[in-house]
Amino acid sequence: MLKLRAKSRPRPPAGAGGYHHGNTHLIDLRSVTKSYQTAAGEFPALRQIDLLVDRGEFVAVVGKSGSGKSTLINMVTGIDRPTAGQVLIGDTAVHTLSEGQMAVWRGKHVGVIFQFFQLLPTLTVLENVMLPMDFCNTYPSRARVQRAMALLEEVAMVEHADKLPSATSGGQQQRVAIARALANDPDIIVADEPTGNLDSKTADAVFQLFQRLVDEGKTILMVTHDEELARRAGRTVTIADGLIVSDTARGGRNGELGQ
Amino acid sequence: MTTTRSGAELPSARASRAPALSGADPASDPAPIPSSSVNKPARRLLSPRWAKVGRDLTSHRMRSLLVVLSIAVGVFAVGVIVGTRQILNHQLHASFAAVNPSDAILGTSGFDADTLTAIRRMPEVESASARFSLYTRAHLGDGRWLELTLFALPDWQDIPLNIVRQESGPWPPARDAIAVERMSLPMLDAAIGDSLTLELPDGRRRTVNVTGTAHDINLPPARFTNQAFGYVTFDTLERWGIPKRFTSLSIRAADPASGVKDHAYVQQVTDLVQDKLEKGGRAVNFTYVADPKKHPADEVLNPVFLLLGVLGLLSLLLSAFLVVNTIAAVMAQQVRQIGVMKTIGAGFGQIVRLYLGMVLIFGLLALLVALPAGVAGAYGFTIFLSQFLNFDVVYEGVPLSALAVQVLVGLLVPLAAALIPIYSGARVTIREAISNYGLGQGRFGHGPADRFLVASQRYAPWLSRPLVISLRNTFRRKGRLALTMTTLTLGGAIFIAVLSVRTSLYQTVDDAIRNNNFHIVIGFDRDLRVEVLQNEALQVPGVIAAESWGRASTRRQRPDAPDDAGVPGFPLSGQSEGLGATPPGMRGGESDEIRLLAPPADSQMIQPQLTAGRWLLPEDENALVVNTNFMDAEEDVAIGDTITLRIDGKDSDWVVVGVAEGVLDQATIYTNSEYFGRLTGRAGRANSLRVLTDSEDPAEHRRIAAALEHHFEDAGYHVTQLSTRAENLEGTEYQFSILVNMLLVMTFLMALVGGLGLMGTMSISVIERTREIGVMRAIGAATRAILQIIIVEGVLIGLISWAQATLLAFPLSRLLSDQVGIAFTDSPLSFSFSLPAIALWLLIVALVAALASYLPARTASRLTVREVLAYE
Repeated sequence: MLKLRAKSRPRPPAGAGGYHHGNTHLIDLRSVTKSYQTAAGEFPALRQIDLLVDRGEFVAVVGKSGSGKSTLINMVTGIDRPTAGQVLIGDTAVHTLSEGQMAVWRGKHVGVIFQFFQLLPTLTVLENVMLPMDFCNTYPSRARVQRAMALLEEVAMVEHADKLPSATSGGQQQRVAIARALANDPDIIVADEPTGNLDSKTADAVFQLFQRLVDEGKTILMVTHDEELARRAGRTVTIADGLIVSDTARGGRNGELGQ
Repeated sequence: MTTTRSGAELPSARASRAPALSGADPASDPAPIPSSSVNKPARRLLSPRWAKVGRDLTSHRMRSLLVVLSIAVGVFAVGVIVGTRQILNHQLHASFAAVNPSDAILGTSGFDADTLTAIRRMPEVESASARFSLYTRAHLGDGRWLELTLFALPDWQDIPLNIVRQESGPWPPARDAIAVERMSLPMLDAAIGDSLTLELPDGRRRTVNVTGTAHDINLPPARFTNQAFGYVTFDTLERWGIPKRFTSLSIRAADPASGVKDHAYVQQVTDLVQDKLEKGGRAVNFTYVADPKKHPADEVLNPVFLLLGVLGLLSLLLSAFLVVNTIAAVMAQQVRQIGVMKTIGAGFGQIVRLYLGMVLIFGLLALLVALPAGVAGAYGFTIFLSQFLNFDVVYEGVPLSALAVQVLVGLLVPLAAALIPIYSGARVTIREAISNYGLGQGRFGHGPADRFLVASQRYAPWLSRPLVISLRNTFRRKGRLALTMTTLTLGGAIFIAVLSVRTSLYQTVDDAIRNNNFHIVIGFDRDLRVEVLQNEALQVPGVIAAESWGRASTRRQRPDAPDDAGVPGFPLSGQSEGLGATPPGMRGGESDEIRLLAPPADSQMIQPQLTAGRWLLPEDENALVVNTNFMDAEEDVAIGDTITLRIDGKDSDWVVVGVAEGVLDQATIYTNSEYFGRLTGRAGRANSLRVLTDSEDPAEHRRIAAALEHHFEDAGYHVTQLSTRAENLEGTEYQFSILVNMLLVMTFLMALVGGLGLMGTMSISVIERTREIGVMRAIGAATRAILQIIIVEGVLIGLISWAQATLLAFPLSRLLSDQVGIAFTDSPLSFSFSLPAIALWLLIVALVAALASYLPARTASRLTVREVLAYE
């Protein structure tokens, strides 16, 4: 079996004991509010959101443009900070971390996938995948190439390892982005419209890859506009005007809103 | 199980799923990539982040090249200056020390070997050497005469002080032979083996054979003083009827008890020796006291290097501006990449280090160019200077301290310059970075200048749309514009200032000429009746006026110093009788030699620029006008003071009535010729004549001078000195031209850095606006329109900087001109602002701007719409 695990990473204790902050879920958003100051006054992007996500869940976040989807996942990745409330991810109270601590934490625990892939144009496909390991100093340097190649093998991009991103297609770039997100073996994958820029066939392939990762125990939070894709995720959280208006598990089961 | 290419094992089920994924978009898979996009070695040598740095550098080669070259020029300039200083310090001082330089030289009426022995026995004197000097004129091939000082040495092989070395030919030279000082040979238009006709002070002519050359590092460069030097033996002099004696004494003071051998101490020992000579009946005409262990040229070299050093640092500073602009542009361009890197785990410090690494590579690459070029330049510049300082340069390896300075500034200056843009760029939050999209960057429309430009369009609707774009683009990145503008403005202002120093130098020469409104000076071997001299001169065609001036060499007898005016803690007191009896440092209260000139009361040949008081009146008797050079030397003198002068051994009192500007002059005092004649017993007689001709042409002056000499010789009056105005100023103009050329080289470097800065800025602008250019092309902009927009923007920046440079140039020119004057002539130059320099800089900056923007514009205009719209 491929050893994709980072060289040292705290694992939350399984079972009822929970995490240091008393949360028993991998992702625990408590009364999260986020407001932006705009020329027109204060704009509330999230209003007292509570959300619980367990390990191994595949959550699709849906909603109209401007509803607060991206803000919500930015809370999970630590890209943005809440105006009020708590963001607890495993053992970490993310909202309390400094920028420097946040970067290290994010690199090790969260894999982010963007709509426009965002591969560094001057690095080869392989180097792009190695970069998170390089920044977070996970894995011995000699093992990084091996691991990156294995990840590329997983996303069927190994043949393109030495190409620059510009020499690959959109679908291929998104697969590389997924491999990059997996580089440090994070618990959580956060994807913002990962298929938004792909044709339906490629989007389907990417979705299948996500599904496989969930099967392997990863937790995925995916923002999407694609209702069909959202339905195929294990759980769908719908946001409107900064509020979670529905949280549905596949088969009709209500998700854990933590309320 | 399936084994991956990297050797890792994957479950076969997963492996079997992979092809389905990879086959998801076979149609969108691009064709096999060209080998240029493959970089296999990098993945083994470098971590991805450093691979990124490397490729960011190479992906914008032109931009990187400009930054590297710009830093290299600045580092090169600093390297040449520091390196030259180091080599000079070592080699010039070593060469100087090797000749055992004296601490002081005394010019006397003559003394013999016994006196020399007595001086050597003085406990305060460590060693002494003597030589004889004779002022002659050497006949040049074209009928001109050049002043030549002959030296004779008592012992040619064992010279204790101020050693003269044989360079070629027999040493000492044979009877009737001369060894010419090596720097004088070219001025004599002679070669070894030639014969040379010399005219002795009494008018006799003798022929000597040039049999060799000598090297005397102590002599001033022949071209600076416009006189030659040579060596003959006492045998030769005796054959010419000149008895053996010495006229100049060089001494080295013994080390004082305190161990501090400074100027004041040496002066005191010199005074003792002078006392001894004078008590023995030898008149001392002049004394020169050197600063121990300092080469005489240090006084000139220090300000030169200070000036060049400031210019070198400025060019480095200007190159740092390009670093700031480039790094700011890189950070802006890569803001999204920074966001992505932060998202995948890069910390602020890592991002900062990454981009500082890029700057470090700029610095290292610049050093690769600048270090060898700097060493070569330093040796080249030292060799150039050695021609004037009369010493030999040998290669002694790389000047290490200069190298260290170059490495330090080459790495630290760009790093320091890049810190702020990197810091602010790396501080961007992921959210800001990822949401940053759209066309172009830079804010336009927020400042007053922007609003003015927008409003002005209403009043100038005839401006073409591309021109409007150029105008507004210019003010889009205001910080960058400010730095580029500063670079070009400073470059331009210094260019104009240096050329203004040049015109000021020549203006100073002109002023010196205007002060002395005559073309030819003739000296005679005896006092002659003034009317006879003037009438004879007026008979020569071309002469329109002639005046006889009295002249003398004098010294001011300073008032006695108070008893406690000695140098505190001076160690010599009591070492000898003489020292114990005289207050130290103030012996005799006598000044250095002063030139006294006595023009007729109604003289038309002197037009002094008075700085205080008044000029001489016909009825003045013992009145004096002193020049500013005198005032610099005798600071305690004020208008209305009575001072005592010693003329021909007799003291007389004089009242100072005015101060005249001394332009390129020595310490000089003026008095009425009539009173001076009465005082010295030479009433109605003079030994020199100043002649005004009807021409301003130096060649004509020379011709008339030769005619005057023939005329006087034919009339039985022997001419001992003959010089034209141009000849007198030749040495000064030559010194000025060297300085100006050095400054011009530095100015060229500044202009180069300015040009590189503008090219870098334009290149950055074009890169940033690639997508905009694509949009313009997509909506129908022709290649010419794109070229026009970019080139006009560049030229506009150039023109604005020119206007600013012109404004800044005036005070800068004034400052530079004053400082150069003070450093080289002890008083500010006659300031003249160079208007042609302004026009010339306009031409240069317009050309540089057009060229600097043409290259990036051409690159932009060649991109296809598809390429530029796909650009990120």
